[in-house]
Amino acid sequence: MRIFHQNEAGKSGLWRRVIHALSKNPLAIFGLTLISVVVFSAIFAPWIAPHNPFDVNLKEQLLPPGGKYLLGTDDMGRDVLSRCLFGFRISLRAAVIVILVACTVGVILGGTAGYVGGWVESLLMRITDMFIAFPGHVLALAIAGALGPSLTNAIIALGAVWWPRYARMVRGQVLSTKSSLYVDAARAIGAGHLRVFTHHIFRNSFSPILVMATMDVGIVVITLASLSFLGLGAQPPTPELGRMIARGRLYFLNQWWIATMPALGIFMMGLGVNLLGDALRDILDPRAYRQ
Amino acid sequence: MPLQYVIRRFLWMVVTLIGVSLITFIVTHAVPADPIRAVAGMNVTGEQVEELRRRYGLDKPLPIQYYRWLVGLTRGDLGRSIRTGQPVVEDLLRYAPASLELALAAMTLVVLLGLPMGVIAAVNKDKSFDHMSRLIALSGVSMPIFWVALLLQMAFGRTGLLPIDGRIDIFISLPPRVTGLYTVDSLLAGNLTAFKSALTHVILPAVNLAFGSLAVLTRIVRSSLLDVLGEDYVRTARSKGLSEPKVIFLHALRNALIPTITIMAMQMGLLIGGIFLVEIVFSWPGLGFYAIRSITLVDFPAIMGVVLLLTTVYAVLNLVADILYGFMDPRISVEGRLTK
Repeated sequence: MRIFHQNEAGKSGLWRRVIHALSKNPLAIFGLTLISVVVFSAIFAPWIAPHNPFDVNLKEQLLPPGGKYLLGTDDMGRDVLSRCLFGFRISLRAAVIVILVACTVGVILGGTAGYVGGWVESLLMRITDMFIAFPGHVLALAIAGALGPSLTNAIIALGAVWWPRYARMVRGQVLSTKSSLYVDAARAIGAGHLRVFTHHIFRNSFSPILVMATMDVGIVVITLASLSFLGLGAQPPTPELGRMIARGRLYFLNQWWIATMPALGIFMMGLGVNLLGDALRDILDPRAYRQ
Repeated sequence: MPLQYVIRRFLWMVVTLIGVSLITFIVTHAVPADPIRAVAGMNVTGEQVEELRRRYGLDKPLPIQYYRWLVGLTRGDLGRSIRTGQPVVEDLLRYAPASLELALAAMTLVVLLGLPMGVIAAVNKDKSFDHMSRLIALSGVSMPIFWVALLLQMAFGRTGLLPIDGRIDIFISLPPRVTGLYTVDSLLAGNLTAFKSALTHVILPAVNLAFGSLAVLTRIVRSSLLDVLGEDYVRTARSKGLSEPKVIFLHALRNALIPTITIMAMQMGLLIGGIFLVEIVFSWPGLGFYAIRSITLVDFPAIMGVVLLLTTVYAVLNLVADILYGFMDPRISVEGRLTK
């Protein structure tokens, strides 16, 4: 029998149990399938899309789903299916960037706050509190509006809104692991602060951050779509899902597919993430919602 | 409930709001866009633009502008909107009641429907009602709110069952303004036609706004109640011979509500965020509507005003929730505030 380092046994044992439990849960599997479809479409869109999403073809406007255009065409004769597939790509890429930025800033600020403590911690946490004080979409709208309507600015806006959550979580994680035995042991054998932080504290905080980040991707995609719906995110002709819905709204009565297909796409992603998130929450901590 | 805790929380709220205003100021002013040009249009000379800039105090350095804004705030003056030309405070007062009406209607729906649905789902765990409510809950949080809005408009617009935009039929004269809420005012004036019109107009946007939070509340009530029902004191109550409804309502529900309140406080933030999207789709002339218009024109004073108002409301609601939480769970007030 192999003897594991204390962290690693704990971590791989946990993941194994999680994956085992997930495989028993049909809803979780369904959620995972939905997510996989979306991710697959996003990655392989340039190869699996039947038409060019930017091809304007005024002779084939507003065609209903079926035949050459599986999900119909929009008001500029562009294939809705291809635009949706590329829409997944754009949304996911943007969401991942937002989460990465938020995580990075959050880990740096939250980690520093938790590890250093003292007035540094107080100051950083107060700043975090001020950002969290903004309700809902308000700050994102203000930033996106101020910077000007574009996908890049929307990403910046959402990154600025999302980092406090991660900062708080990382700080909490750091505080709880800071005083554990193995950290003391590591410091006793002379490990420097940075090594203690990266090797021990961060390694153990990794899983909850990862779970939160995965769940957040779904929410970020929806928020990004909301910004684009209001005209503050991606601009035409970029096929962003929210933007497509806004455009399709004008034709909703008779050409329902233009708005409905992108909406179904967002729904797939949201549902998949929520199902998986619910299952994970049930497995990892049945009382997790009681925070 | 120690008073000094409440006072400290209140002071902290004020400090946070000042920080919020600073952040908003930096965000809205550190921008390339120029509201004066946006509003003035094409046919203005350089001197006229400068004159307008002077009039709105935009020619001064940024820290001075922020300082003047803060000073104005203490006097109840939020500046003048560059777009409407009106004092921002007046604009806010004009648009706020519409949002308030919408928010109240939505919250009513959330509580009136969510609590019973949660209780029923908990009591009928794993039966068809539970599964159905779970499905609805999941849909609620997975669908973007503006999409639900479009669906509602489509379903009801085509059938004509309910109106899909505006606050009231245009040919109905408005009731005398007491609260600014058309439903309440028309009831107070005894004007039933206006009341019916206002009520039918508020239903769809309220349902839309409520959908997501309703889903969350139902799930939270269900989970909390299930947890509580497994506790020892519930077993004791049952073995004392108390009937099941009594067990649920007298003992279990009260404790299940504690985590519910914290989650609902969080939901209020999302509700406020949802206002923007719902108001735009349903052409509901409230703060969200006003905010979007101001944001597109980078109307600094207006944006500052709306953001500060909404954030203050949210902060106050959170404070109230914290105090309520303290009342309901005596452990909190004894131990003092747990660090977040």
